[in-house]
Amino acid sequence: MWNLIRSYPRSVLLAVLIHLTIVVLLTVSLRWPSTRPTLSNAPVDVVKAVAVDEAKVQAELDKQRARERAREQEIKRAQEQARRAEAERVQEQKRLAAVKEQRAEEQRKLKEAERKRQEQARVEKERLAKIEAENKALEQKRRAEQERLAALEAKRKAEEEERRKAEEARQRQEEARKRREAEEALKAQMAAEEQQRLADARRAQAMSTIDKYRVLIEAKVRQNWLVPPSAQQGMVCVLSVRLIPSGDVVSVQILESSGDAVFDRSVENAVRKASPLPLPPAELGLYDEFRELRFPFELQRKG
Amino acid sequence: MLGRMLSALFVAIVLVMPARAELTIQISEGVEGSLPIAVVPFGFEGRGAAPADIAAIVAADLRRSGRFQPLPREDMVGEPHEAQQVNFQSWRAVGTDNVVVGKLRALADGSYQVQFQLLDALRGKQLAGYSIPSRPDQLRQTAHQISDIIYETLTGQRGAFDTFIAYVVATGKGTDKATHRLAVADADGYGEQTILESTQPVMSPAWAPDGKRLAYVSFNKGRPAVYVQNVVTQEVRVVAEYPGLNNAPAWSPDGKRLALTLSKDGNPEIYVVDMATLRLQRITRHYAIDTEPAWAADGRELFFTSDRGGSPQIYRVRLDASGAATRPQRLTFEGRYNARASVSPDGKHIAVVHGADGKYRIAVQELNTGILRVLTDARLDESPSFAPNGAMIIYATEENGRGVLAAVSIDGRSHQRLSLQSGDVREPAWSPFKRL
Repeated sequence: MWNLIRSYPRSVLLAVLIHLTIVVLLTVSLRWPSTRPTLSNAPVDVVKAVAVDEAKVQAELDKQRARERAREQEIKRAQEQARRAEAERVQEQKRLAAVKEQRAEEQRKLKEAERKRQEQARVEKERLAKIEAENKALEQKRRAEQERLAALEAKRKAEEEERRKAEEARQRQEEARKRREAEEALKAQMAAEEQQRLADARRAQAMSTIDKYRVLIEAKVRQNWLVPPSAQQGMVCVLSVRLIPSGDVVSVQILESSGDAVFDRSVENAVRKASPLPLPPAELGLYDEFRELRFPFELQRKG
Repeated sequence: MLGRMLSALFVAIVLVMPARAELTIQISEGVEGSLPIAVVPFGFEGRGAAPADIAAIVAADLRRSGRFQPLPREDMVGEPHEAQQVNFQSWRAVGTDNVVVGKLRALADGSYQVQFQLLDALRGKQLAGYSIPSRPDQLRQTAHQISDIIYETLTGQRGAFDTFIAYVVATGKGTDKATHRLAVADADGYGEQTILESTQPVMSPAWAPDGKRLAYVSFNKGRPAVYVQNVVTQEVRVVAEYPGLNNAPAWSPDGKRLALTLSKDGNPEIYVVDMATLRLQRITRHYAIDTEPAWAADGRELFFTSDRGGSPQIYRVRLDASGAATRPQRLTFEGRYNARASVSPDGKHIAVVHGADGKYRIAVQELNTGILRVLTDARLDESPSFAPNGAMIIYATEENGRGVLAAVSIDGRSHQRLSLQSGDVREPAWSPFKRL
């Protein structure tokens, strides 16, 4: 009801005025027909009064007049009452209005406060929203930055990965190359060793041939060395002897003399008489080994 | 890695290279053979035939020494008389190391000029060449001198060809006409001269170091006495004629003393007699037989034979400044008989008669080591005597029941008989080098 009133204050006022008018009119009329019984109060009675006879009507009229006066008094009391009520009602209404006004004011204030609050809230909200937005923007920015960084990181990582992979690949290649080289070196070494072995074998063969002919030469020279009777044990004479491929001695040079002319001559003669010295067959190609010979003659045992 | 291997290989090659530059062949012994030599017959420039075959004498000398192997004449490849005519190649081809060429030229005064060259066939050069004046009676000696030059040139040792041997010869043994001679000949046995001839035995000739005097034992007075005779002047001197044995004279190296064996005190002992005073110094004092003294090369020791140990062995005493002897020291232990010591000229060896297995052979003992080497292999060899160069030993041996002279090289490889002499030849003594 209060909400209605509050919502439609004008309508309520109008209604109140209409009622007041009716009341006035009725009052006035009642005064005019003062004889009229007092109608207590129902308009319905009013309507019924139209159909009553004269005598009876007079009686009635008198009666009515009495009733009317009673009623008029009643009305007047009622009116008074109404007026007081009205005054009270106005008062009340005034109070109500004041209250209403107060209430409205309060309402308004409230509304205003509410509005302000709302406004504030809105502002706050907006501020918050703004902050939120800003935050969001920041966040977004941050996120974007983060994403950028992440992207960068990812890129970096990718690059690093790439590099690492490249490095690994390079290392693998390097290792493979090294392995290959090691294998090749090993092969080369084995080949070299094999060659060395062959060379050794050939040299051993050559050495054994050389040794054999060394022994043959030694034997032939020894058989041709007539040790002079003057020779003393321990005498040493060293000769350098040049041979031509036929084994013929072409020159004999005393590198180290024994100090005894006869001894020196005896060893020189030994070589000269042993000429030609036995040499390995030409096809063995060992002549160079025998081109120049060194003969240390050392008398170790005297018969 | 490959580079390192290559460099290692290179180093190896470099290291190997010097080794192959000169192959070394060590010769530590030879043969003790004889040197092949061709002594080409000497040419003769003069009337008629040559008075002597110098080349033959030289070749024989060289052969006798055992150190040479002269090429037989039929194998010679030409007869050059001087170096320019020698085709060395062809002489080498017949295995000759050395060629001796020369010629004998008769001079107007009847003397000769003997020219010779010793050539090295292996190198084609002359090693020695001399021109020696000679006389008809000296041609052999000249030949021996040539032998000495060749020997010394080629062996490094002085030759002992131009020396003498003394020996005793018995002829007509067991007959009325038995004679005993002391003879001297060239070392090759030629040119014998009789120093002493007697019906009584003559023994133990010994050369004085001067090569001119001989000490010997003669029984010409009916009993033994020691004489010294100058072979040039024939001058004779009695050194010892004591009762009993006067035996086995031996000259000290300085020629001033004579060691000998005397039994004047009842038992053969070694004495030394001073040649100037003829004073005696007794060396041994033992009831056993001490005899056959021989001087050490330094004249400070005496070797002698003694049977004081039960059988004849060689002992040695050292003489002090006064001539007194130390206690004898036994030197020979091999075999049951070692006697008649002869000391080598270098004083390092003694030659002895070594009796073992019923044979008496010539052996040489090295004094340092005591090692005894038997040189001969006959049944009865005796009286060894060193040549003055120590290269040979002359000794007496038996041939068909008679004594003959033989020579053996010190190494025992060369044996030569000097069987020119008739009769029973004993007790050779090789002279010292001639005094030039």
